[in-house]
Amino acid sequence: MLAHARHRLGIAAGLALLVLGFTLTGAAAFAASSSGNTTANISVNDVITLSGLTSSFTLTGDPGATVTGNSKVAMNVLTNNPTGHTVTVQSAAANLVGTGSNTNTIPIAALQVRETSGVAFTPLSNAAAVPVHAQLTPSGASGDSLSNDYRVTIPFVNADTYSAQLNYVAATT
Amino acid sequence: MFRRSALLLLVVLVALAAAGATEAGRNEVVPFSLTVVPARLVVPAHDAGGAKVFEVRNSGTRRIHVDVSLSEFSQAANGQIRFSPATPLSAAAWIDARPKSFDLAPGARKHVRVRISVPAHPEPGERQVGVLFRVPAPQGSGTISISGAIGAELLVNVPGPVVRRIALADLDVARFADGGPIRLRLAVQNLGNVHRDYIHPSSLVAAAGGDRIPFPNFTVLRGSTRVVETDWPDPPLFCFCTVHVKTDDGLGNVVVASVRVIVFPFRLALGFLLGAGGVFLLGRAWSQRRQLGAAARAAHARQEAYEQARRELRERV
Repeated sequence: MLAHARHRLGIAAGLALLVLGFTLTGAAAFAASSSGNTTANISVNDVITLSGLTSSFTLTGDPGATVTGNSKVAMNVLTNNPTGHTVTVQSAAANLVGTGSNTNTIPIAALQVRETSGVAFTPLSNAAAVPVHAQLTPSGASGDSLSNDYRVTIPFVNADTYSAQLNYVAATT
Repeated sequence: MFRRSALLLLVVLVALAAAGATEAGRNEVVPFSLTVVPARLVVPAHDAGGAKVFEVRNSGTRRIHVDVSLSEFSQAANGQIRFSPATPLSAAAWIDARPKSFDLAPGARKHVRVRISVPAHPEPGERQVGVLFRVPAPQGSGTISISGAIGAELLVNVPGPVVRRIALADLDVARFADGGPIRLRLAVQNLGNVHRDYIHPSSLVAAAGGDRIPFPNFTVLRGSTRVVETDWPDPPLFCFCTVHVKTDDGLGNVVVASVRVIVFPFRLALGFLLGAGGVFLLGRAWSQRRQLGAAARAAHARQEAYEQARRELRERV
């Protein structure tokens, strides 16, 4: 009976030492890991986003009239580029063309553009891009909202709908 | 009681709707949104033969088609990038970008791989190629349709001697100023064969009257001249200052652009002189008035005495 009790005591003592040993080992291991250092590196991309670009617009008027449309084209440019960004616009063709058999055209230079809040309008061209925005700093965190005013002096042409395509390009500087 | 509860419910619903609208405004989702990463890719000479990747993302709600094209580009004095059609002799002919066109569903992204094949014995230095990611104009109802594009810059360094050479033109500053801000304008010419970045903390800085005036961040590409401007916001009241800008020319030499500026508070001095003149005139007028008053009083006293003497004489007679 006594031997049985001693045996149990031995097992209990062994288990207790085992648990104590594991505990000390674990504590030592945790203590070792807590003194280590980790370097966090975060790589930030150089990003540019063009969004919210107006898909089309129309200016309507009589022959001989000069029609102005304020904020006809709007967009948002977002970039974290430290040297800023520019936006240009260029016509895809030399003329605005009518529909069907109408051979009348309107020279693209009759259509003029300026940045909203700007002073002077600049005639559009299919040979050279017209700058409509330039800045030397990154955009705001939610991008910079931009818009352009358009003006057209309508020549004496047939009543029709005259169309052209304008190409906007946003780029970093 | 019922009316009061209904009113309270209405107020709560309006408040919730307003909060929802504000949240929607913050996280505005638009039909068209095109993102390109990176906006500029500089390929070192030792890696010029490898493939590079541009990531194109559609963050809008509309499915878009993207056409990829290559172009040349140049840099204007104000930093404006001008893309122009690629010519057969340009470095755009070394570049093969694939895929050349693709569709992107809302939220989707696509990798465009750019493979650079540098020909044998090219002229060393950096080549500039524009990679245009264009979304054609949708079939809209308007007469003027709009297509949007992002122009990414690819700067390819060709193996060989690298020449870094920067020249500064004269500082363009008003020689006389009567206070701030004073506009400083400087032309920076890149005569080397690689681009040069002046980006914080390596910005170009003007020194004047103990102040350090940084120019905005800018890059000057190979063969380009940039005209950069900054303002000296608060110069001293009086100063015969030298404004100078220093940089290294890329060859280990320091190049300096400097100019003498006289700061004198002309308007303040003029105002002071006018004020002093006004005080002088007022003082003189006051003095004259006092003299005239004294003379008048003396004349009046003489007249009184004369009248008194006449009255006395008349009484005697």
